[in-house]
Amino acid sequence: MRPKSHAFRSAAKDALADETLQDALKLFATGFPEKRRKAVAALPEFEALREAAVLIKDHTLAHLDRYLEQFTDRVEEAGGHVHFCRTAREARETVVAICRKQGARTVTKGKSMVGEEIALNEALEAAGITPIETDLGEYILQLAKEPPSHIIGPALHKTKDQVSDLFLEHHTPLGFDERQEEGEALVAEARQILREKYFAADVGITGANFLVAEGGSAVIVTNEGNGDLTMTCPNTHIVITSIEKMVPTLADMTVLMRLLARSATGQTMSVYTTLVSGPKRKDDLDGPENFHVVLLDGGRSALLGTEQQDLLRCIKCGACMNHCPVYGAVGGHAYGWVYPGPIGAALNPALIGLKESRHLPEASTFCGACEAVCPVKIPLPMIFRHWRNQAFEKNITPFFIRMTLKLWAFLALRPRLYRRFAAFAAWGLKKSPPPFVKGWTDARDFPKPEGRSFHAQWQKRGGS
Amino acid sequence: MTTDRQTFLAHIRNRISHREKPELATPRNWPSPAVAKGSREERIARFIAQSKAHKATIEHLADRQSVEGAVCDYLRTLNAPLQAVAAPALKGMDWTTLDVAFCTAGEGDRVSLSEPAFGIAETGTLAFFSGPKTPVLLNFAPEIEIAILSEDRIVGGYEDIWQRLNPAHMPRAVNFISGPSRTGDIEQTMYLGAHGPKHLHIILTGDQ
Repeated sequence: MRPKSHAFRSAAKDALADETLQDALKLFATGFPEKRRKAVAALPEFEALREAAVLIKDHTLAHLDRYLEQFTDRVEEAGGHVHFCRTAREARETVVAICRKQGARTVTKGKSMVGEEIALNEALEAAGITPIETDLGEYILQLAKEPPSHIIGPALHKTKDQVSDLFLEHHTPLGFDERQEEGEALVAEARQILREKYFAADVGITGANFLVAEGGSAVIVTNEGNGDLTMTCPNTHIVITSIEKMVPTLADMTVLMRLLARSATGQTMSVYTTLVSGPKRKDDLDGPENFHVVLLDGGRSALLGTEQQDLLRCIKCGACMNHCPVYGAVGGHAYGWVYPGPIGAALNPALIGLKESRHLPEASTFCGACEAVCPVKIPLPMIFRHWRNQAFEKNITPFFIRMTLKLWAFLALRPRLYRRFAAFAAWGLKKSPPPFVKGWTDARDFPKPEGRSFHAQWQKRGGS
Repeated sequence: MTTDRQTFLAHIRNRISHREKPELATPRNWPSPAVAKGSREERIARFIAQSKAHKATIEHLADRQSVEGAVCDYLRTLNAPLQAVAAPALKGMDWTTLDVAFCTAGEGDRVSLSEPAFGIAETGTLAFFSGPKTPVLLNFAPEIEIAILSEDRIVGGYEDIWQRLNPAHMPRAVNFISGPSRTGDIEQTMYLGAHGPKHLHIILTGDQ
């Protein structure tokens, strides 16, 4: 997906003015957070599991080479193949080459954010292969030609009415020419259309939520069952995923699994959790003959060994965006790339560059809700600060802001001067609101300074 | 096109070589939910309650003799034909009224009979191990799945499942299933039967 994060400010403005989107976001604000709260309250061990998850992920990242090797050995012993890809391009080309080798004409796909990251559908289409998204949300977006706006509910920005229109438009040529308005009927129609696609596809592509080194297993979690039909029906299954999904053992995976659905949708478990380890065995009655895992680095290894390494603990549950006031106001598309919300604001600068994405770490109120709900305790606000610093140091921050910050820093390092300036500013602010912030004060009152400064009052009371 | 394994791993090794390397205890002693450790009766009760919470339906029979009758009655309530594809693992049972084919499920099959390896009390989840007698598509292709599980296969938590698997020789697929298929992708409203079964009916049998 080509990043559009540089246009965050105008995209956010458009999003705020988009009434349909705002309606969809209103529904969203009350849904997931309340469900998560109940699920967490029902599991007294939740906090202890979070702490264990941090230990597991930190350990895995510190030994990532070792676990990647163990995973690869196990997959190969079971008759599968692992492909190592440093860049999105390598990953795209690898998937296309496997599909070509199978003579594939259609490919069914489960939801994969890494697939979005490497723009896999476009690459398949360019190679004359038809990709068919099977997750209902992704299917809706494929018809609408839009990217996902949320990592677990990709089409949450769409209203039911819009889905009715899309289905009528795209399904009429297939013989479904009645506009369905009930959700149940829409789901049934998509089920009927996709059913035959599963069995006709030459290759099935899924993502993975976790990789388990000791079992050589990819763990795929869905509620719809589309992932399992996608991976079981065709003759070839390709898992497209990234290196940080690794955990050492099944016991370790269990800790993350117990956190994932509760943090994401408030379920105790998603309906389907599947561990798949290699191709069909000799006497199995179903399953693919060929099994491939395409492992993407895609800029992640550059975070290893740095202070931002904590980002690689992410299990992509979406809790941070579900609780973010900025995401709640502008939705996911404004962020301009695959990963929206707080995790995107912290991760995207590492994956697509700070120059493209410098607005994203700025799009935070620093309320800290994201860090508070993160199942693997990623210090997101601290990472936003890091990127803000980097933007300043690398001269990416615009001139006017740099100068303002420099002026402030100059004053802040000189206490006497600072106090005089502060007294002068307080005097000025009592007379009229501050200059240059009309956009802010138009809708809010700027509180007038009261009496003397804290510092002056503190001294008067004999503080030192 | 791809980076070779050694170069790829060497690059990663290089990135982490200067960091401290926290080790984890073996075997792992991670916190596990208290609800995953109950007596036999508690496990059965929790399994039933949690399955219902996932919108599975569940029927508790004293023994395996009456399974076929229960299956037929259930299918009649859904107005479904008395015809099913079934796991070869269920061959040993008596099937006289029901028209049963022991194979995996295809595109047109409406009803399946499956045999989970275990039921997990913690979350009301069925655990299936793929194999020659337990094909995977029985759990995904049909609209109606009837899972036949005996009480003594109900374990507490996921730890009990891992004890019964050798990580060096995993089955191709381990499927954990908690209720019928669903989607929340249209306005966050839940609809059942997205792609997998719309009905998951569990027949739990006693010891005899």
